[in-house]
This record gives sequence, structure tokens and C-alpha cells, in this order.
Amino acid sequence: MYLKMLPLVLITFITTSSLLFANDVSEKLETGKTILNAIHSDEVKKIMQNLNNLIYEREYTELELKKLSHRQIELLVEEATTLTKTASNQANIISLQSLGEEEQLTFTAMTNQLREIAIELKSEIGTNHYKEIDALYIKLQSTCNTCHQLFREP
Amino acid sequence: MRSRLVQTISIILTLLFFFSPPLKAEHDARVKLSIGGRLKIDTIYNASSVGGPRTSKSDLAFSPRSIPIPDTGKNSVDANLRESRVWATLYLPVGDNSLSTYIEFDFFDSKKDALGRSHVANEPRLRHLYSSYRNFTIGKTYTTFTNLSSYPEINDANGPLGHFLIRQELIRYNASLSWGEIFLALEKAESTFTSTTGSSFQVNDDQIPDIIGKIKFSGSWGNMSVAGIIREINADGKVISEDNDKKWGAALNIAGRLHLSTQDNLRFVLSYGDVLGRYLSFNAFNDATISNTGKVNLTEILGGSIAYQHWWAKSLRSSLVFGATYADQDTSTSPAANNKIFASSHINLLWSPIQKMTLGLEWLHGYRELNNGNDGHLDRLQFSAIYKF
Repeated sequence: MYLKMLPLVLITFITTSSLLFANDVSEKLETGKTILNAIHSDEVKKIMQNLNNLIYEREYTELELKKLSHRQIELLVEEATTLTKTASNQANIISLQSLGEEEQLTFTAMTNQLREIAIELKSEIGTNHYKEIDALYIKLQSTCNTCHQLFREP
Repeated sequence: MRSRLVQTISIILTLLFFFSPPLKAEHDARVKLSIGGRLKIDTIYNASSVGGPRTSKSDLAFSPRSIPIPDTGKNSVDANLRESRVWATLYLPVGDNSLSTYIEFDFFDSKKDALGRSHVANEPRLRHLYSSYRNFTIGKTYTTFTNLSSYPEINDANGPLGHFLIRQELIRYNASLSWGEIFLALEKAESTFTSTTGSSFQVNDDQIPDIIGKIKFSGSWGNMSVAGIIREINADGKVISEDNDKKWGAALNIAGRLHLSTQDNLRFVLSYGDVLGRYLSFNAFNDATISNTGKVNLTEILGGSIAYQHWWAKSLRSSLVFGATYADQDTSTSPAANNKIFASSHINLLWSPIQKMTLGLEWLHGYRELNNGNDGHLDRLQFSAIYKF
């Protein structure tokens, strides 16, 4: 009896599958293997996973999803702040010494940049100014990605 | 008049979607207007058709009251895109904060054409329209009594039994704390009754809004909420015009989502009380029965649902869902043919080849039992394709 449904399933599948190849915007969470202990965090991975999972929520409104994603960004900011502090501690300075002088300077500059964006983002989250929060989050993501590309094994 | 307004708004939203690039309003650097939606195509096979001649929503979205007893209906195949949605959000800076406004439509408002066909008239239906500023929300949206996080990922539009998915007018205050959130709300009142003949009716002149409070605990383990509701069920002299019988009642609900591993999770909801009728399982039971002398007897209801979601791979997952609801109705005023128990189970396999798209197949089994012991079953197979834009 269920076979009666097959033609309709096939039509729907073919129609929607054409969209599949039209616009693949899936994000990759994996950013490579860690070289520096300073920039490794399971918590960040977990938060990114939670952010990623929000796309599959069906009943939340876009406003509520925004609120939930901002809560995760808030946690991410806290974690980023901790990471930037860790990055400047003694153990990591030793780990940094394995890098060239120029790389060390770049790493330190990027750590400072991450810290500054995190501070700015933290103060914006309380205001619900979505446009600013979104822009800062993109900036934070891009700083993270650039650093990962430079200091992580592919 | 109202339907013309809704139609006009839907046309504007559709046009905004198709011509979206120039319509990203940037009047003020901090004003943000965004438009989006989802296209959902459903193909549904019903082992037993529960709708009328091509017009009923019950064949398209699970409606427990329409499970046939006895099971004499013929099977049916249907396809529709009524659960497609179009939404718009507007963020407007006010003082040092933002006023957020949200509007969302789906296409479930089915009206028949002159020949009684529904497939040509997928009219827009307002799902949400509300504004939020700081801790306050005013408008029409999901009731505060529900915990949306506990709602399983399923294809069916109405969801499992034992769940709340009603949207209504409300005023809500919520505050975020380090451990979670608290909510207080006044929501639209509306009492539903079963008469001694078994027919249903509702009252339009309720006087006191439903009062709802909720505490939600959140952490890396997931979240859990405890909610309470107090309602006045008012017959408003519908049976005996001089006798304006009314009763106060209350209900509790515990709901949440627990993270079991990186992505696997358990979602649950359990509710008990004597004013759950209109809220629970799409008004499977009415709020109260009413005698011929106008005496109101509140319906005690117990309902719940549990859902386990397992991720087979990064974009492939399944949900196994069980839900049930039971009413202890006053048999002296309610006919033997009244509903007593409803139950449902869903199992699905969903695949998101890209983040914005989900394809999935789902099997649903529904069960309905009456006070006199008669029962009925419904089996449904549903294929859905969703694309978010």
C-alpha cells in the first residue's frame, strides 16, 4: 500500500535535490590539528557545535534563534577571553618559542586582536543591537579562522 | 476583509522574498530588516483517510480527535506545501537597546473553492506577530507554558501527543539569570467545554487572562523547565443564561532537553492538572464538561511525551518519539463515546545534505480510545523536504 506514495516521494525528492547543488553553504567546524596548546579548547568546539545545531531547530522563531545564538556567542566570548589569557602564560610562551620571531609576533598580535573583539562583543550583547553583534561575531570568527590557518596543521 | 488583508500581506512578503536584494532596508545604520522563510513540501500517505473530501487538515497534520473509530476509512495520498513559512524581523534601536518585531505566516488556512477543493486555496495563516523590548514581549506567539526545546524534530506539523504547541496573544516578562531564566505571563483566556451530548463549544467572553509562570534551568547538560498555569474556566451562561458557573483550576508541567553526547539528546515533557484541555495535544480534551444545569466540572488531564534523537552521522539523524494523554472525565455528564486516551509514536530518518535543507521520511502511529472502550488506530507515512532561505 505504501508503494502508492512512491511517485510523489520521487517527484518531491528530485525537485528538492536540485536545490542541494545550488547553494552549499555548510560550515566546516574542523579547523585542523592543534600545534599550540594555547589555542586548543574542547569547550569552544562544544559551543560551536551548539551554534551549528541551531540551524536544525524547527519551531523557534528567528528572533528566539537569534537570542539563543547570542547566548552561545556570550559563552564563546567568555571562553575566548580565558584562551587569550592562557595564551600569554609561561607554558605557552615556551611553546611559542618553537615558532620563528615573525610568527611569534603575529600570534601575539592576533591574540590581542581576539581579546579586543571579545571585550567589545561582551559589551554589545547586553544591548540587543543585533547588527553590531552580528558584525562583531563575523570579525571574531574571521580572527579565529585566520589564526587557525596560520598556526594549525592542515 | 481580514482574509484580504492577510492575502495582501502574504503577497508583499512573497515579493519581498523574490526581490530581496534591494529590499534590505538600511534607513538607519542600526536598523535591520531581514526576510526569510522555509519551503516545506510534504507527501503523506494515510492508511486511513481521516479528512473530508480533499478539504480536511487532519489528513495533513496529525489531529488526535480525528483518528477513526471504527477504522473504516480508505487510504489516501496527499501532497502539500502548507507548512512552508515566510517571516520578517525588524530590529529598531530604541534608546540603548533594540525593539525587535517578528511576523510569520504559514499556508495552513485552508478554505475550499466553489467545488469543495482545498488544494487550490492554501491561504496564509498568521503564526506569530510580536514585539520584544528588553524583558518584555507583547503579541501573538507560543504560549509561555511550553518549552520549545523539548519539542522533537519531526515531519508532522502538529507534533506528538502530550505536547503544547499553541500560539496565542500574550504579555510576557522574562529575566535571564546566571543559571537560567524566569518567565511571567498573562495570556489569552478561552474556555472549551464538552456538553452532555458530547458536542464541543467554546466561550468568547472570558474575563480573566490565563496566568503562567515558568523557571528554566540551563547548563552544558541541557535545560529543564518547570511551569505552572492558573486559569478560570468560565461557562459564561452558555447552558443556563442566568447561571454563570465558573471554576478556577491549575496545572504543572516539567519539560526539557538533556544532552546525552555531542549531538544525541533526550527531550521530554510531563504535565498534570485540571486546566490543560485547550493547551495540551491540540485540544484533544476540552477544559471541562458541563451539566444540563450549567455546572462546570474541570477535566483532570495527564499527558507527556519522550523523544530520543540519535545522530547516525554529521547530517543524518533519527528521532523516536512516544506521547500520550489521558483524561479523567466526569462520566455523569460526559457521554460514553467521549475520548479517554490518545497516544502517538513517531520514528523518522532525517538527512541534511546541506545545512539549509532537510529531507526526511517519518512513520506515525496514532491511537484513540473512548470511555466505552472502543478504539481506533491511524498509520501515516510522511516524506518531507525543507529548504530554508
